[in-house]
Amino acid sequence: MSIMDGRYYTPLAIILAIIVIAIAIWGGVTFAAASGIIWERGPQVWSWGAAFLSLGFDFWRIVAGILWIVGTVLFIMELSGRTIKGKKLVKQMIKWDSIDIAIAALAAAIYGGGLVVTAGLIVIPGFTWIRPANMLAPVFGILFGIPGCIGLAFGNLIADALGGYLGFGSIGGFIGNFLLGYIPYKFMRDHSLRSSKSIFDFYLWGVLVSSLWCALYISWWLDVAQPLVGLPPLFIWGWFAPFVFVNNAIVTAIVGPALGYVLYPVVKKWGLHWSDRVTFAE
Amino acid sequence: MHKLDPRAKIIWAVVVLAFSIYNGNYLLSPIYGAVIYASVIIALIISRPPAFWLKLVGILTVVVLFFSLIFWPASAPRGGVPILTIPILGWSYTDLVLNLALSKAFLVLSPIIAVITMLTTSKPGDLFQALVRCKVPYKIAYIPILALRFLPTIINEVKLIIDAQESRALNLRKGNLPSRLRKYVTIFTPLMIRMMKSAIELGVALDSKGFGLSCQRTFSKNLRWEFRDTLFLIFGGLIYVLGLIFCIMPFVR
Repeated sequence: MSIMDGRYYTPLAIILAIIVIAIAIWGGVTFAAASGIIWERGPQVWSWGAAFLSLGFDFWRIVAGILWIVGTVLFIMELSGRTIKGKKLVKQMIKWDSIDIAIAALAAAIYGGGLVVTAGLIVIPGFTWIRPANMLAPVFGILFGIPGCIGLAFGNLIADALGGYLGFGSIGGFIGNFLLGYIPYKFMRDHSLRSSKSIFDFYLWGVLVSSLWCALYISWWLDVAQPLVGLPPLFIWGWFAPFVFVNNAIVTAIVGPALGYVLYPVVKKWGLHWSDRVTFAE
Repeated sequence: MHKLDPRAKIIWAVVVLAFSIYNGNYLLSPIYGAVIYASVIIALIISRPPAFWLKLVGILTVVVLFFSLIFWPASAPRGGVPILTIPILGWSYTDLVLNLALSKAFLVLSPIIAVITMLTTSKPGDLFQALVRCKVPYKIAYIPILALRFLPTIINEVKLIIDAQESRALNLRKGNLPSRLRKYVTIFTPLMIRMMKSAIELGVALDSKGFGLSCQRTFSKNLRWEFRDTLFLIFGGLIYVLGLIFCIMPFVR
């Protein structure tokens, strides 16, 4: 079966990786090309912005609303010590001992500090910028599990605070960044990144799905909380949502697998991998 | 500001948010927005933060005003009296558009500056205690506080690793976007390995101090709510309420 898996997943993983990287680079390049005139003519001049807007605000509000509800339920469920395993709701015993607290805190410090130190271009003041440290998000998820995801959530909050952006919109960013690590952690079967199936899963869940989910989660929150946050819908759905997707995807698609591949054996050897620290009860 | 109880500053930030929301959605008065904005700016300035924060707030103010003036006119009601044309750019605004754009800009800015003031004038340990006293589980509250403690260390580590890699001919500013991004693997890999070592050492240090043994967390120095905290909140509240009354007077509107 493993030979069969390898036979089918190798080309699939290569094709998916090429498609995802191409989409992300295309998004980044078209954004850079349109950035000069986007101020004058609005987000429609960026092909991605136009594509998002062509589906209409209502479409995105419904789709993102569903993802928001599911994402929030998953977040609350995981924090309350329950998780879905093999289509069943089971109790998970995360120790939350000193090591877990230290992992979450240091993950938050690295993610938050990394976002600030490596932040280059501010794209939407108060809301987003180019973030090379986003490459850490799926890696923290697949290596450290829930403590890593909690670290991502707090790290984003810290980056917002240090960037002077901490506001009501940061609540969406808190859970959105949790999901960025949680989706690959939960949906990838093999976290080693040492098989074609694992790499295929990484590009599917860790790059495509998690980036899109995170972008739509935060955007829906900003849209709903518009009276509290102060962003217009045209800005959110025509610019913010596609840009967050592109920004997350481009970094994780190009660098994520290499980083995960290098770090996995070290994490396993030191007993810090989530699978060595969590037990499940039926 | 530094001597105030962090809980008073948290309440103040919430009050700023509440009045900003009211103004940004219902009152739509740029004058009232400016009153709230001025109050948070004064609070920030008298707390004497490092110059970095003042510069950041200045840049943020300019950029948010710019964005609001560009994007909000599309959502503004039609009609109104033309009152402003920006030379060179040629953008013209009616009173309705300008009220909306400026009120929304202040809605974004004032709460953010209030939070900056709160964070720059509070010690992490005091914020932690304030969170615990607000019934946040102390293990959860400890994560961001511990992260803040390690933040300068991590930032120094990143700079050190970048310097070390640059001395080995790595150039993060050269190349196309994918190749520049790929170079960050050489920064984040050693950083992550150092982080894991630190996590193990920190875990041992926390265990040795009995972290997590007791459900009830005690503190060597307890926060005390004093008269000046109450006075600060009353004074702040008065400014916002009086400003509101002044701005809804017919002669101002």
